[in-house]
Amino acid sequence: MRTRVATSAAWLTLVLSLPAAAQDAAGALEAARAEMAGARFAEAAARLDAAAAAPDGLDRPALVTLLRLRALARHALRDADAARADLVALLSLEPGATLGAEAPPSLTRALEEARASSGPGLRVDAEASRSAGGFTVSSRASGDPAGLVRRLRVLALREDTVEPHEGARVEIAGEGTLRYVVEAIGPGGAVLATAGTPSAPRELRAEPARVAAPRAASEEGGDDTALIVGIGAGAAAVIAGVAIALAILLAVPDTRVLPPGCEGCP
Amino acid sequence: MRRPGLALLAVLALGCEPRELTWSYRLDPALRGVAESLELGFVRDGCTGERDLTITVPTLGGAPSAELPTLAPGVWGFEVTAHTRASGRTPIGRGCEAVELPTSEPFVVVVAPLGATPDAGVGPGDAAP
Repeated sequence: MRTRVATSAAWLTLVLSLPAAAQDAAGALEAARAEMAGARFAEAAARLDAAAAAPDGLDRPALVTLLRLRALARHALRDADAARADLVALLSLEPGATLGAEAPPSLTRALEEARASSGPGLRVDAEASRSAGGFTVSSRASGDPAGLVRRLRVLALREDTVEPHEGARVEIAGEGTLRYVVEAIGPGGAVLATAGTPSAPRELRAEPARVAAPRAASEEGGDDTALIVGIGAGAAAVIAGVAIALAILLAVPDTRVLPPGCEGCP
Repeated sequence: MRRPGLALLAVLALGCEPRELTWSYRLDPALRGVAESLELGFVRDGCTGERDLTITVPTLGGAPSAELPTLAPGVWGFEVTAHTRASGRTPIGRGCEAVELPTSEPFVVVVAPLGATPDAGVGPGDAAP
């Protein structure tokens, strides 16, 4: 428990150490909103472009707001392709997104058309394995038709620190149990999707000590070695075939998990 | 001779088809009207095992942000963590139900406030998953 408390404190330190750009981003969104209210769509779009291009300052909800606003601005500027790109990006973050009453019907139609051809939302998958001197974490983002993901960040949660690494495949020195979180980082430094969370990180646990399997005793072949080997190979092939058929027949099926229902939700 | 072969192929194909699992979650009354988003966690070997996948539900009662997984047979923990926008990454409620797959029995995960769990007194972000 002490480790979790210490790591949470380290996490908090990491989050608080982010620059004050978050406030700048919030200000940029408000300013863009005001510009759009004054029909200054080009200025609003440029301001939103700058916020998206910044290395940090946005979180996921702010990016969703930015994409909504920019789609509206680009639509008003009659840049249909760019507006559609924002809608596709928006749906990859929020498959159930809507534009609200402020959107013109033609843009709402474009959103529904994009939704009809959109796949599952953006997600990140990761797998850790042991390697010489530590661990290898391989990560992959999927469901990103708009190319929102700029980079993949792996956070190794040490006892007292959070150790950041970057890349789709990272090497992390250490031994014992690896606790880690993988983040897909997008425009403005927004965390788009994670594998694991700070409170429930993914873990590659220390392997229990294994007893080495006894080595097969060497056998000496006689004069009829070839015959015995041939018969043995044939028998092995038949047994393998029967075993495969039985395995398929007796296989326990996988389970496809459906979205959960909510009892008592409004 | 050909028909039994086709029948066998059909049986094999059906045997490999994934089953669909229906489930739901129920928020403790103390969390209703408070929780705004959820995280769905799928934990290998039960509720104390390795969390294999996390998927967010941005809006309570809404659609998950990604397709839910197809899980291999075995015991899996279905974990639901509740958040508010104000709480950010810190959960305010959690529930987990260990289920042996495959099963077609629907089940409910009850999400309790973290302060009311055996982890009371510990910061919510520090509670054991």
